[in-house]
Amino acid sequence: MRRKRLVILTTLAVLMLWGNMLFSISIDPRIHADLSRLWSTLLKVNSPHGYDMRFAELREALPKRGTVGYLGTLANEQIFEDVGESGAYYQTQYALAPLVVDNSWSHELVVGNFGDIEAAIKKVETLAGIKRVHDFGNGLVLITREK
Amino acid sequence: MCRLVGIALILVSLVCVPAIAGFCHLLLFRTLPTGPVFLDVLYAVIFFAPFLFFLRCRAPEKYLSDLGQDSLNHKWTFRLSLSLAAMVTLGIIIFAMLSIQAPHGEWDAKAIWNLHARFLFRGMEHWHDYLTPLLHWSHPDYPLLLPAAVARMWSLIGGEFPVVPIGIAFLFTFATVALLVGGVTMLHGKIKGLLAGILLLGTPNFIAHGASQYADVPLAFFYLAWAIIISLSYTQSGSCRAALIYLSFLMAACAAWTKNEGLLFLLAAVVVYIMVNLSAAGDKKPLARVQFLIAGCLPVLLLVILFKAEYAPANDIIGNQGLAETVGRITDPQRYLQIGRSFLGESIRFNNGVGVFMVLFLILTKPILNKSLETVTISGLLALMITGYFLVYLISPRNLYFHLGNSLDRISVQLWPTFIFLYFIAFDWKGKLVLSACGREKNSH
Repeated sequence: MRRKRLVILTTLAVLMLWGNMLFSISIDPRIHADLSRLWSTLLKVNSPHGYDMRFAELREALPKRGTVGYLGTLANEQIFEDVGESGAYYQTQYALAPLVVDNSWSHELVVGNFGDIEAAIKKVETLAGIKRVHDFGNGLVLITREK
Repeated sequence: MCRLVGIALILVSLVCVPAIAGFCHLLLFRTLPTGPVFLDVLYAVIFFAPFLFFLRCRAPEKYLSDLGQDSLNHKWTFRLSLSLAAMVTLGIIIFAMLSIQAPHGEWDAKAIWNLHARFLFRGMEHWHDYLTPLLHWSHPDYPLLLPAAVARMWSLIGGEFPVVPIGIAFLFTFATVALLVGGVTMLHGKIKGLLAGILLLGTPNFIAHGASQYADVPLAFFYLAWAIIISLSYTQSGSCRAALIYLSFLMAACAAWTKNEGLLFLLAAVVVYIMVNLSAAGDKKPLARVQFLIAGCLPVLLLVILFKAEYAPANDIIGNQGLAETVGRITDPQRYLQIGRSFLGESIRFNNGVGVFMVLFLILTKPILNKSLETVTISGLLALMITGYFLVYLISPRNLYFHLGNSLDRISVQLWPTFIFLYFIAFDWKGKLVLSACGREKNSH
């Protein structure tokens, strides 16, 4: 009797674990990707799905090492309070490593990463001490400030 | 199953050796090597030498499976093996899908682990440029096993292919499953081993964290490796036992080189091991084995100490302590309540409440508590780790609500495989299931 109870409980436990796994799959929106993209994801350094491509031209225009500033849609002090803005800042640093991207306006070279390019242009036009602005498209700009 | 444990350990060592050797090469010669170097040979000897002694080890006594009769065993083993194989297959598909969606990993992978790997790979002699207060949010004090492994592999294959961090994450995730199944099987039989694997895979939080390319699953692997190897060492004697102690603490030192929590783990492992062995009855030279403990820790621990002393900035939790503020936090009863409630809540909520069902299973099946050395050791370790994490939250200068919310699930993932291991070695259902020669059920205890 005890053995039968253990067998039944173990079977139920295994079925519940299966149910747990399948339930988690059904509710996770990330687990619905196209498996045919696996090959290109693994082997292409700059796959069409990689956002490094977005920063490729900007990276070529920047020095290989050193520190540059950063400008986003929000003020620098507010960037870490917004999930989207902080994510954009982390992605910028990730793409431009080993350059250090300081969340600050106080550098000769400043990288701008904007979701809305028109708002970005308006913001940049209000800033003082700008020598040159180069638009790389996709919301990325490189601002050269006066020393 | 011995092979399963051995394969998991060897494959992970094949990642650790070039990672550690590559980083040492970078420190000494200011460049990542693009091929094998002397340091690879040196660390390969350090990691693989103990495996030579395992040929002398005797197989640990396998306990009767908890379902008794031989024919019933074979049927159950077959069904559970099928179930585990199906879950592994599904787990691999889930892992692949998550990796396609986020080939560079999730949030912390891009902000910390893979970012540090890029500084090591792209920066070369200037790799330490990220060790600046300007990037405080990237936790520059974090150890470098994972970034160094990724950077070294990129250096060996000549490019920043996403397959490298994805492959390393995949290895650690499924090596942990293999280690758990193999380890429980070697000590307590095939059926328990298969059930342990099913339990780990049936909690998909683990697969998702593995695919996120964070360091929590590699840390979980090293914690589990220590637990299993130490438990195996209790079944052996002589040079085999010495080699196992050495390897277990080498794994613990790798945990310390993976993440800051690994340092806490190494300390807890040393304390627990010494206390348990000093008090073990019949052990004539308990401290003689401490030399193997030290020999296992040193090769990697020296690197951790060098990095922390010479390069890494102060940790943001430890570095931002002031005497008055710390005393204030320690003496605030509200903090104890908040942390305690969070720990309890997490243990109930974790992986859709599977912990609750594990407790219910025990209540309904009434197993016997196995008061062995390994049960005491692993229980002591987990108790010390949870206490350590509690104290870290207690003194943390960060907003406690957000700190707990952002990190508690990851700490749970780190401890989860070891907790499953303890669950299956601490409880014995065999007493109720041993059949006499006449086939009647009897209770042998």
